[in-house]
Amino acid sequence: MINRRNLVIGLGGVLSSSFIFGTGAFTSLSARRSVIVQTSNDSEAVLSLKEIGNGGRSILKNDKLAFNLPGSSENEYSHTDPEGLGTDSVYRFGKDARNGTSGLFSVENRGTQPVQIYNTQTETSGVPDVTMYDVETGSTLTEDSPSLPLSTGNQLPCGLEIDTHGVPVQEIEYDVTLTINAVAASD
Amino acid sequence: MTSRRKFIAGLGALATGSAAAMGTGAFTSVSANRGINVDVAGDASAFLSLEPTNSPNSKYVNTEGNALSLQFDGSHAESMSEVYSGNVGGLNVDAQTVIGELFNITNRGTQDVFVYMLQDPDGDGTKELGSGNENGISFAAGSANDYYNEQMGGTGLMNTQEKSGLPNHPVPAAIRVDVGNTMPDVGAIFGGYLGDLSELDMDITIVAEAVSSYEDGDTVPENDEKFDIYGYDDPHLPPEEDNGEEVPEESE
Repeated sequence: MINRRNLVIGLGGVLSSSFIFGTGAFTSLSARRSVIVQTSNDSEAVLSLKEIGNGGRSILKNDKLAFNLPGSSENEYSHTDPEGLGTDSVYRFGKDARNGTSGLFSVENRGTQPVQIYNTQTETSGVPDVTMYDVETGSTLTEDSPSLPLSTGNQLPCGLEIDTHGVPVQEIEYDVTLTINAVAASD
Repeated sequence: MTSRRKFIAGLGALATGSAAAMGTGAFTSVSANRGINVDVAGDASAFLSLEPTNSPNSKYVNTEGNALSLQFDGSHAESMSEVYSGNVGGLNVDAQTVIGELFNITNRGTQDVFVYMLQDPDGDGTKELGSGNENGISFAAGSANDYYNEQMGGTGLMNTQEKSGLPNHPVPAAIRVDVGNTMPDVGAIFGGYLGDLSELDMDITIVAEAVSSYEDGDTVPENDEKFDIYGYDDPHLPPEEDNGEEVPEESE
């Protein structure tokens, strides 16, 4: 639907219409348009990242999904008080210390088109390798083999695979940044 | 449905009566009324036409009224679910979000133009060549071709012009759209390398300047290819050869 407004002005002898507007040319044009953006914590955002279960392995901290392994309240549920992951091992955390359903966290597509999910890790030397995996299929989600396209409104329960090979035992915890990528599925 | 409003103003008072005063058939001044017709069209059909794409991401484009706006908060829709899937509070904090394929820009004028965008935070409609992407938002379009990569270190639309100055600079840092052509799939980039994204209600200014107003505008190739908005690290590239290694699963 186009809304047109005609503006007709007669001016005595000063302007000639063909000179100014007759050609339809423009040498410069600028149009101002508005942009509105809202941000949200991870659980309510376009790519909704939610922690699942209790035990503190997965939490929402400062509006962002975060992980502690072992969980901050692991001992309340296991009464085993683990101090850390073993070295030279591959662990899979498919759920929190206390969780009836599977999944340590979930990724939900609340956008407008199907996306494929995978993670990357920028700093890998001297720290554990962290890879997301689909807890239903067990497949790790990497750039080369991301998840199947996740339709809008659907969520993918995920776990974390932690590889501690070549990572020495130390008192201080390792601080690792996990980058979760969601890329529109190619046509 | 087309609604027309006419505004007619006749201004002739300066010159009328001159014929009576002279009376000889000679004249020192002539007044001749000429009409000027100015059609103001909606964005979709204007000289610089701004139209939503056919992509699902065009849901973020509000075409209510004649001027399009970009609304990532869903406030233009009757319900959030018309735009998003589920109840969404906004874009993820501390993330880089790319929303491609928002709208197309078509040159329906008679001159080839360079198109760029500027932030206009105070909304007064003037160009503000600020320090760049302090709001954590930018726009991109066009082909990330060798020319722009070499000259600009990438192809962007937002505030690119500040890198080379306004017209008459030898290298226009903007994307060329020739007559009748379309710059397809203008998209937005939020956060990430642009800095923290916060809630925004701002204006952007889309500018088209004739190629002829640049000294060396002719030497810049036209861009009408689809922009690879993912840039250098394209996740759509074919995966590297799988080395076949499997990670054995141990225990939790």
